[in-house]
Amino acid sequence: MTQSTAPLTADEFTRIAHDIEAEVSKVIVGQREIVRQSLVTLIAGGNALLEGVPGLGKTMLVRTLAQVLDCKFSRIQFTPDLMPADIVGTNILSEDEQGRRRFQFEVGPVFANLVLADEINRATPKTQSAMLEVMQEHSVTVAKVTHRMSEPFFVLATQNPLEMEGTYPLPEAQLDRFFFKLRVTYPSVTELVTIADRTTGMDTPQPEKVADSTTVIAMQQLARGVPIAPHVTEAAARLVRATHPDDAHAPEIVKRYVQWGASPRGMQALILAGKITALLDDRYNVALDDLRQAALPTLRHRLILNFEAQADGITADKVVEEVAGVALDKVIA
Amino acid sequence: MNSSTQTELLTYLRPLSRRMRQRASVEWLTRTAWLALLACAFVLLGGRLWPVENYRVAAIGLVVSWLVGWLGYTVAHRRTPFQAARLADHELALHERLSTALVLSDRDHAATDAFDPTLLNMQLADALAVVRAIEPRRAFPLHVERAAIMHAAIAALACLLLFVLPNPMDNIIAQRQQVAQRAQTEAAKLEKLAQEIEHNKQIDPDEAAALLKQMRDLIARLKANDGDPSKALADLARLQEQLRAKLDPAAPSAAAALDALAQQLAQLAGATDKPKDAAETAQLLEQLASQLDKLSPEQRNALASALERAAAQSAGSNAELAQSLSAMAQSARSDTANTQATQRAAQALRDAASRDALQQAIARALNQSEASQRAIVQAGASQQSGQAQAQGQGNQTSAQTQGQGQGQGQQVGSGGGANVNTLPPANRTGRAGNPTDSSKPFGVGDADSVYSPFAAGQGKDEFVGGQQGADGQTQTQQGKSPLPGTNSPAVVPYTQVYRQYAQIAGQTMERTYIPSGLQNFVKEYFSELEPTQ
Repeated sequence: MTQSTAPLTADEFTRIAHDIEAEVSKVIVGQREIVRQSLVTLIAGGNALLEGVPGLGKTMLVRTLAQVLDCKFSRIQFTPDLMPADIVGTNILSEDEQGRRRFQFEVGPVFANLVLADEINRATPKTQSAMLEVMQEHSVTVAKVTHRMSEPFFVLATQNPLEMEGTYPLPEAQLDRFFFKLRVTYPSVTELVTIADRTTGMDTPQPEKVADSTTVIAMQQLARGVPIAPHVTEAAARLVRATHPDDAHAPEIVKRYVQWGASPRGMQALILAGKITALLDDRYNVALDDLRQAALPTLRHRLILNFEAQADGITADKVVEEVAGVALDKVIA
Repeated sequence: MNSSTQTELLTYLRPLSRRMRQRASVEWLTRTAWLALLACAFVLLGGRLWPVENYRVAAIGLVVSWLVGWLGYTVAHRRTPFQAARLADHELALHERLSTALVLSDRDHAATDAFDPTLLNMQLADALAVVRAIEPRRAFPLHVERAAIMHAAIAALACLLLFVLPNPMDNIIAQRQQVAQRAQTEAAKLEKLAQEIEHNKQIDPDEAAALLKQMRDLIARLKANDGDPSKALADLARLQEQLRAKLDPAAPSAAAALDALAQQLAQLAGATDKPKDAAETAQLLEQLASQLDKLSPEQRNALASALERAAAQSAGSNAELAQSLSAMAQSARSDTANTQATQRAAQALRDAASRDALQQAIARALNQSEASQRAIVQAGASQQSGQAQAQGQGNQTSAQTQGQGQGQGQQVGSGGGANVNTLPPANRTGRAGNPTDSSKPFGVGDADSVYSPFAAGQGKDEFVGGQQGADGQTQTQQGKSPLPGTNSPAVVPYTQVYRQYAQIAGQTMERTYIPSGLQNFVKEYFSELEPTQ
């Protein structure tokens, strides 16, 4: 967010965002929620972790976003033998026309605006750490030289929840670095029919470019200026606090099944997502409903459940839904 | 902009706040009306099932309290503009527009620096546009739940009916008040009697204190009685039982012996009047003993005979007196002065006087307690139907007639046993119950007399059969008993009034609320009393 760009108005923000969604929807059938949340993550300057079985259009979603935003797109397929240098790049010895040899940094695939880190949990922790560092710092340091990513920088990592053999599950501390964790659901029959019609015919719909990286940066700057009332901020804080089992106001499900609650980074994500959602909804302030809407993708990956939860089949989604209901309803009352 | 925006926001939020308060007030009223009225109906219903004083006042008080609570709720349920804004945001789905604008339009709010000024102004303008469009009456209509209104109407109707319809428990309450009042009156009478006993110097102080303690305990219980006749009667019965235990069955015979001795000593001393009490008798005895050497042999023999008869009569009741009188008789016959025997006899006479005074006090207390018992029974029964009263009056004449006839012709001088001590011996008619049969309750004797209040009237002269004289004649003492009601013609054999009383008791139990335990008690009482033919 260091770049200075021409400011956008709220109306322009909303219009552009809706245009992006409309263009993506030309290619991606259904999954409106995923598209909206991916856009929110992009505008928030965060990274998203998509969880879903293969073939649901995750790669297509990121590729389409890149097309619509006129941004550089890159895809990294994570495998166990993938090395950090394969991602971030490395110094290679090259020879110029005069025959002089010198080290030259060869950028890796991570140097793009939109990066798809496919099946991130298949890489070793070492490689995962390198990727996550880039996500967090938006820069790469090789041979004592720091190379910054071009903005906007948006990583959309995916992981398959079914095939767990030979995978390296992301540790909780690294999961916390993802702004959203999105669950891609299987399309309905109607959506499947539409997918078939669009992809097996003579013409494949092509999305149009509606914004560029500069516009995205301007949107990111505007979103942070959305007003939020203190009592709404407090509600977000109470919501995050209520995910901790030692909190006096934590609901019973948290006290029983949660080992550790969401971090302050979760609250930051919650409020930032609320601001963007408000603007997307043609409003100029954050509402409690925005927090409620953002609670699930923001907090589900930030809770550490205990063994009893696993034994009882309690998911993080269920815990978050109940906590959000209790904490936010209490604020309203 | 911010300050004026806040002012304008407040201008629109105040009517919203008032409307919210009105709505909350009406909702509270409609939601709780049925509850308050139902509680009121329960109180009124309770006043019909149990004799509760001032239950109507309590029911009205309940409704008034509810109305006061409603007023309090309405006054206290004021919402601040911020609260009103938040409630409006929530109920009208305004997504925190109003509350955010109200907070952020605050001039002193430092956090506004963190926001985009353009967005902030747009937010305030948006909130103002929204709040201007709100019509308080339309946005916050008054909700009246039909079901709650129906419930309240039903409860109100029930309250009205229960309030207006006559309540049979009112009679019982009045009866209780009457009983409580009568208990107070009887307590005052007992207190007066207790004071008299307290000032009676003839009674041994320790004995008097014990008697007074029992009486004052009863007085305190009667004063504390809240109109429960059974409790008052039980208290009275307890005292009566204690008093009867103190009554000496031989006291009348001892008194008669002392009386005869006093008369004979007066004759021997040539006095015109009989000694008034045992103290004077003792003085007369000492005087005769000191003049023994001056008496003629006939006079000494007469004195000795009189002393022997007195000793024989008092043998059963006062052994010490009997011994000393016998010793005096021997010394009179042998013409030798026995000063020690004379002193012992005089002291025994004085002790007997003290005991006699105590027995009289006990008898008076017993009579007063019985009179109180009757008065409380009457007070308890005064609310009964006219049929029972008419029946009681109808039986009054015959009971009175029978009481008079027996009172003049069939008196005996002595009786005995705990059961027959209810009335002084001089007032008993017919054959007394077996004095040794303590298992029989009062009145089981074939012809025990009882006091019939329906036959109450003027006291009659009574004739007390005395000890058979040496010449074979029986002396008869005529006069009126000092004890109230003891020589009344209303004292009749209980067999004559048993049916009437049993019937009245049965009718009373049918018409009045009496606990089943006490009903059984009354039934058993009358079944035990039933005359054996």
